[in-house]
Amino acid sequence: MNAFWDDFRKARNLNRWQRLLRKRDAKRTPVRIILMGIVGLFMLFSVGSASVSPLMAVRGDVQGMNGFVVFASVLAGAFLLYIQLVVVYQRLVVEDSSIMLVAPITGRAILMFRLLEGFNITLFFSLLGLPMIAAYLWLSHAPWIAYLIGLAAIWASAWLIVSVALLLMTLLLRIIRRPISRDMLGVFSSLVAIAILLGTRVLVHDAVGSAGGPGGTGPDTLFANWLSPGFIYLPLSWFGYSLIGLGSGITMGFVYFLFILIFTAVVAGLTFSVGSPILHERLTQLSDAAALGRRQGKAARKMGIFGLGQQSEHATGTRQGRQQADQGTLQGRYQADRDTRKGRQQADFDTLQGRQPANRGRLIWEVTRKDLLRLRRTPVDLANYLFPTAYLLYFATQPAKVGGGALFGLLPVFILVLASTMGRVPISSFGLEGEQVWLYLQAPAPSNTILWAKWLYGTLPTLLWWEVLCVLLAVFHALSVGLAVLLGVAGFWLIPGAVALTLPFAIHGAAFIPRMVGRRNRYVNARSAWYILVIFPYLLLQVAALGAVSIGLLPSVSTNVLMGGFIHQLQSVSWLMYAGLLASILITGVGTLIGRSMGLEAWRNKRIQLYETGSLDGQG
Amino acid sequence: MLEATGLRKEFGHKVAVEDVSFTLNKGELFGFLGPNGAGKTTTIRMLVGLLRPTRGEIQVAGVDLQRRPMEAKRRLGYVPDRPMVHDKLTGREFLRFMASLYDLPARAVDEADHWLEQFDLTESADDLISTYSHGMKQKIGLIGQLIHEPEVLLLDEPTVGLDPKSARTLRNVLNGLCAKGVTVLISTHLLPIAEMMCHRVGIMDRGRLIAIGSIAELQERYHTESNLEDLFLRLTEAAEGERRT
Ligand SMILES: Nc1ncnc2c1ncn2[C@@H]1O[C@H](COP(=O)(O)OP(=O)(O)OP(=O)(O)O)[C@@H](O)[C@H]1O
Ligand SMILES: [Mg+2]
Repeated sequence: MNAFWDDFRKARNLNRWQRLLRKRDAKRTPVRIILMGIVGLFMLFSVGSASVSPLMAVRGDVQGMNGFVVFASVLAGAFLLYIQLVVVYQRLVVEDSSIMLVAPITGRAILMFRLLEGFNITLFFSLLGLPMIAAYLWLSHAPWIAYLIGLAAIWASAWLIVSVALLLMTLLLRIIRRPISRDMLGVFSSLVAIAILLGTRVLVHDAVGSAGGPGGTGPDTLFANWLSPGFIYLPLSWFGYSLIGLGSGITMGFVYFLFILIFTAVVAGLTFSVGSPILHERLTQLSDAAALGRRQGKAARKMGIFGLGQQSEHATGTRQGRQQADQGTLQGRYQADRDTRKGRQQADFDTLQGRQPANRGRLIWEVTRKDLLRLRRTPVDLANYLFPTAYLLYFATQPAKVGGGALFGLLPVFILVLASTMGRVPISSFGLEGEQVWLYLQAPAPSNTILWAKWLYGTLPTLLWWEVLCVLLAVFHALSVGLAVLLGVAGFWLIPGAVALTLPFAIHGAAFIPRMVGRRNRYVNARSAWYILVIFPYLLLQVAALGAVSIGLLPSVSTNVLMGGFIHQLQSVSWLMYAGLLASILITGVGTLIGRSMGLEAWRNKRIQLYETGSLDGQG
Repeated sequence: MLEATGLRKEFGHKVAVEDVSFTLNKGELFGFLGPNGAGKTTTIRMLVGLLRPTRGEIQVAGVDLQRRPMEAKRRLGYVPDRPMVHDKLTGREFLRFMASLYDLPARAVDEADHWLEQFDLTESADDLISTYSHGMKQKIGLIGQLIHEPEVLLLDEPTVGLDPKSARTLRNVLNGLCAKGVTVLISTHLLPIAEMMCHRVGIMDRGRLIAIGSIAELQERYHTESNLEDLFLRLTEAAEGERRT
């Protein structure tokens, strides 16, 4: 027991150091705090309204309300679990565990440290559930003590989710016996997380499917199905049951709260006993050697045999020729080669006054391609992309009778997820170059070409996502084709515009801090840009989408379901959608122009900073 | 081929390089020596246009680096002391990326095959660079700077992390390049290598170029028969002594 508390103290200390380091890296300017506050409020508002309005809609119907609370609890739990898995993977496997593995720290202390660390993040997200808790308890006329227990229950649930995620990761580490790469492990954990998400989706589907039969599923029967006995065995639902208990008297609520605590303790104990003996061994086994890379290499070689056979044959031929050739001819050839190439370049210079390379498009595409490859091959970035994708699959493919209404409430959340996760793509685009940014300065590559490449890279993944969303909405939710097209076109304006506006911040904040080599937080300084990126498209898409959806979807959904009266008023004003689209197009158009010139300016300054001081420290 | 006149670099109040002038000839292999912190890396970065000299001028094959940087940079190759490569690309993809930065046709990457072979990288050319060892990263970075066939190649401590075989390959490659008229500058702490390879050496100390010439010339100038190591220590210590008095 003594050893346990020793480990615990160590973990606490590590946690404190870590936080100190992070704080030092992210200087808190007032602007940033304000932005952070605004984003926080936005999130609170959108998650709050998405969770409170259904409650208000079914108020009076206890079954419906209780069902919804369980539904929300499972759903939120699944998503938090997903996030937490990504976080655990990143922190435990990718980041600086290696330093700890060298130091005389027990596996248990490391696990405990990660537990403490993950808890902070999960608690933050869990708190977004506060409006719903308050609304539910208020509607059930619960005494004040219930609110306190509700708070305690959400606190306990955060622990539950963190320990389950950590347990899943240690189980993965335990099961996988072969030495594998970090990247592969990342892919595995993403798969597990997505499986969990899709699993709950199936649950939802079943619950709904077994409900009132075709057609007549109103929201009340819909949520009531979540009270079917099966869910009670799902720990993720216990928070919901705890709330229900609190709504109808304190005891049951408290019992479920205790359940959560006990379950968490069991899971954590299991994690420690499974994890701590193997942690050192497994984590040191993980190689940076990407099995993925090897496979791709093989595939590429195979392609060489089939598709590019002639070329490589040619290459081998010349190679042999080269080997046979004596030094003298080789020398001559080299010289001749170079002379012609230099001649060509000289000619280019003469015609273009040495400003532009002959093939600007190719350079832009190659830089973009490099970044896209990195996105695909970096598990954390990939997970950031997969997360909204899973979300998309989850909701957008719900049959219209269920999803239509829910989707309406969730669209703002969609957009928030889109902006916040995808926003990382452009935001980190310069910072993640790290020291390699020198390559652009060393080569004769024009400034604005690089800027265009980053802009393209920031735009493509999100745009793809958005367009797919529009198609799915049209297919599954009877969003009229015209509206889907409109939203799709709006995406072409909004997303590139938002990215353009982000780039100046991304550049400004891009830093290479040698002390943090290998740490993903290298672009931490660009965080304020992230907030802007979240707010900007969020607002605009919100306006556009609200308008579009209010006309497109409402006829097929009973109006009173989600946002109730508010939406009802919107329904009649179809011009709002057009106004929204028009406004967003105008604003983004202007925004793109501003963003581009600001970006060029920032990039130029960054180059000058580098050129003058040789240092890439962030200035933000 | 490469001409530096009165180079000076200040970082804030700190003077890292002071009044450095020299000229490198076509096909010359020049060794750049000096104790840690002497200013070698800083000088090299100025020579390749990564750092703006506080004062002084640089001409690359008659092209002023500061006035016509694009034109000058095309003729330059630079391999830094820390490998500058993109971890999440495979070796071949990285070469393709570098080729595009120098506006070379895609075929230039195929032509790099013989470099890969020479440096024993053919096998791993399609693996992610993150799986490479330090030496392999160094080598792929070097190849990335060879494909655009620079006229002047600057290498900052290129032998660090190379195995004996690769070090020898590097020497042969550099000798070969010089024979073909490429001007090569390498900074190194390995004096025997400098002695063996370089036509001329320059010794830097505390930001100043305190000696320049072939080893024979230096021996003559300082009236000594001793090898480069003794010469190096004598010169740098003498400079220190001077400063003290
Ligand atoms: N970006 C920078 N900002 C401030 N000072 C710098 C910077 N780069 C180098 N210096 C300083 O300039 C001096 C010369 O450094 P430089 O890296 O050129 O030495 P070096 O000869 O390459 O040394 P080594 O043999 O260790 O590589 C050092 O005192 C260093 O601290
Ligand atoms: Mg150096």
